[in-house]
Amino acid sequence: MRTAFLLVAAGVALAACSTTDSRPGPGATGGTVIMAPTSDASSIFPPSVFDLTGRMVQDQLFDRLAEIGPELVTIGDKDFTPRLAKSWTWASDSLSIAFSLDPRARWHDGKPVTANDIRFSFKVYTDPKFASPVAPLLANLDSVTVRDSLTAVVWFKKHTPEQFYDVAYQLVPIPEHVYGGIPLEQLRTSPITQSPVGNSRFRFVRWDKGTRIELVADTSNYRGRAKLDRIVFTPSNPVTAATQLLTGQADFVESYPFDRASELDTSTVARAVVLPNFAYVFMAMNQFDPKSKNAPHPIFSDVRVRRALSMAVDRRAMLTNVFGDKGKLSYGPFAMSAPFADSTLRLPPYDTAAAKALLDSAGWRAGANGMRAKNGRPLRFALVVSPSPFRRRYAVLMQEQFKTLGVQMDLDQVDDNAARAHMDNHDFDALMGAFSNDPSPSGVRQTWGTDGIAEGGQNFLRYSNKRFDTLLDSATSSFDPAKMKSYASRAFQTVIDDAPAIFLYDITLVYGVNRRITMAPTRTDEYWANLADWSIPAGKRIDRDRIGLTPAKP
Amino acid sequence: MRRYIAARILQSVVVTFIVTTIAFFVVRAAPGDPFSYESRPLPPAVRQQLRAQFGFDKPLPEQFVRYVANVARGNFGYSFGKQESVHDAIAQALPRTLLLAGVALTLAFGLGLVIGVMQAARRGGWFDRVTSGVLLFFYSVPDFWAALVLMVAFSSWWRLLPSGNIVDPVMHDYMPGWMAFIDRARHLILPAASLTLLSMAAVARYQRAAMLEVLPSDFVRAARAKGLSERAVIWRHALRNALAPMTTLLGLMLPVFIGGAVFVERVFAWPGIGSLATDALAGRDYDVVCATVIVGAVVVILGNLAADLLHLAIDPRIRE
Repeated sequence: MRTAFLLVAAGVALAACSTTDSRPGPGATGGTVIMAPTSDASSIFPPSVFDLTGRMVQDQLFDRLAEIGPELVTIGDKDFTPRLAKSWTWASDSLSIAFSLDPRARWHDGKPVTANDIRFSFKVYTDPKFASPVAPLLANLDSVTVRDSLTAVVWFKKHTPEQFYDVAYQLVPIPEHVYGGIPLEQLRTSPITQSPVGNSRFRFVRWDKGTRIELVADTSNYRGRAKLDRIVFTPSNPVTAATQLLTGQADFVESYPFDRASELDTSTVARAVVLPNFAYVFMAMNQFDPKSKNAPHPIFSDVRVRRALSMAVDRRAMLTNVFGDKGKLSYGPFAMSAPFADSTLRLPPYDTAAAKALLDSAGWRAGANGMRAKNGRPLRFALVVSPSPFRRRYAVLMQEQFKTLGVQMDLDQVDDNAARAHMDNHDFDALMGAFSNDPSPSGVRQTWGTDGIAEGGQNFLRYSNKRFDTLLDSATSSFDPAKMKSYASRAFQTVIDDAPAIFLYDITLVYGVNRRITMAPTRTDEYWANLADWSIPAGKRIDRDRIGLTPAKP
Repeated sequence: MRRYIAARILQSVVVTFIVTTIAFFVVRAAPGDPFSYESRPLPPAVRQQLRAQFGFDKPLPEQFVRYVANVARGNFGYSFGKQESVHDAIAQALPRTLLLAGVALTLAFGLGLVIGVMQAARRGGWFDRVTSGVLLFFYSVPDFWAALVLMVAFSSWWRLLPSGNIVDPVMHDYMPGWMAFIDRARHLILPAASLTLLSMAAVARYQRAAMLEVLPSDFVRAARAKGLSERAVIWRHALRNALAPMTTLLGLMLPVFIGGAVFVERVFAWPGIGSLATDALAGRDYDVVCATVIVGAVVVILGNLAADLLHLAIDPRIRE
């Protein structure tokens, strides 16, 4: 049984205090950063945010109850630091946590953050009338009650290792006094959600759709003023954004075109920053016949064929060919930046002789023309590839390598929506897919577990292995991080041995950042997590950095 | 005349309805829906809820009848991608596209007309040969490529002009009036130049041919015989009679400008109807796709109608 009380670690408290109490001296604050995301936000109202730009803006405006640490440990609460909640207390049965709110926390309209806001936020997130995309992630939360104006008690359905993470990471509190008067079925489309009232270190100024979102520092914030004066988000396509960065019109570009990354090495204006993320790419092999859905696939239902194809491709050479020295090899159904990653797993080795022997043993024998066939059926299949240039280059390289083995792979190049339709309908032989993990291994369950096969689940490959499910269950229900990692590794090895996919590479993103900007430490799940601590030294400021907090003309 | 205009307006309504119908069914036949392709995949229950909330779970004919009824009442629907009414999204984007296309149209016809006249007046000379070659080059260049080349040259290499957005996203609001105007104009130059270069060639070629048809006419010979200067003969007498075909071209070129704006807006991050349409297509934002198709069709139809009326006004033979 879990102890009833949790003391926030002294070091964590000290760190929090140092952030809160340190008042920057003259010249320490100032500057404007222009971010150039690849698309405008769809929503910046936390319960309806579902895209990256929306999350980026939301996280500058709203604080969570507690913030996850750089190690992204999702088990328990040890890795979390106080935010809106200055402390928290576990119930003796661990089925509830009482969050004591920081009395200094204020919404940007000056009203205090109260326990009623937490209760209201839970209602908005979980009520089907609002249809929040985050609702399923709060499935273990039962209710929120108000003990007093500064104490909200979150009740859980069951005690799990990640119950604290569920509430602290996924639930972003919103003010009841601003949104509470609007019926939930109308809240999503209400214009009031487009100028949100937050509580974090930046305040909302304006959102000109498709053009810019402007935020300015909240000078009286309970966590201290942001070091920057202003952030402006201006959506742009990657090519234009790259030009804007190199000419100083933009300060930060996400997804800088990989093939132009060398420009940043010689630029005097901007520099490249390679940041990890949780996404990895693989070639999925459908074990079911796409025509009859439930019948075994004539080629890929045989594990020997899948393993042979895995052994026929030189993953490391392809990585160098496509990404030069900036690529990262994939080691299994996870990204190497995930807290539970393991690079010691045994992937099928690159061995074309063994691959040929495996295909021979599976009955796929080479004919006079060098192409393999079995019972008159040629070893030929189609690979669905979405528009990513890297995936297409990988597809061509694999096509060549399969050819030397006597296997014909045809390329079916489609747009993202068509690829999604192929996945949803399980209508493909092979498909270049990508998954992005959560910091928690429970996300892997949705992508490779039997649970994820249900309609709308992410396991589009319909991969199912009871041993994998069991091991992953053990991992996600383990309260000991070391045990969790051990179980997860064994689960991943099971997938690798089954070879439902060829794990190719981790997605590497190059970001371009203006040289006058000093970035604060980034976090793998959200590089923007510490944006309020980015700074521009006084000596490097340009015109737009010096306009201060003066409001623009109306 | 009134009957003619009434008939053309009725024809326009029918054409718009047909175009809308095609857009409505084609976009829904494409894979996915507004909730199917997100960076954070929506859970099936939420997706179903949203489909029901926005009426996408109803049979297609029912959706269509409801959509047409709503459009007839001026309600173009809701944009899931923009999280605002389609009316608001169009109201923000359309003026930007009209500004871009209007400037480009004016420049293309203004410059194209002058070049075409000068080519005809100096037929076979070095000016005619050089400008014909240069204009043919621009005419054969794809619009997105020309836009990229202009951006690389004037924004990246020489750093004379900004490479995207409609104004400086920060400083514009702090500039005095005249500087704000210059800022807006600087941001307009490259996208407008891209559109202008591509269409100016066609205008010049048409104007040259029209002038060559008019120049051998008796009235031109008579004007010369009266002792008028060559400049007066060309610009005052011949040009006036060679303008009628240009009004037809004006109508024909409108779809080119609207279509070109889609690519040019994309390249220069110009948040107009073209950007709105491509974003909506990628995100299967059904109502926005249909609305941009309607707006495009209406602009082209009205433009053609205006060109026809202009043609009627300046050519008395057609009125008869």
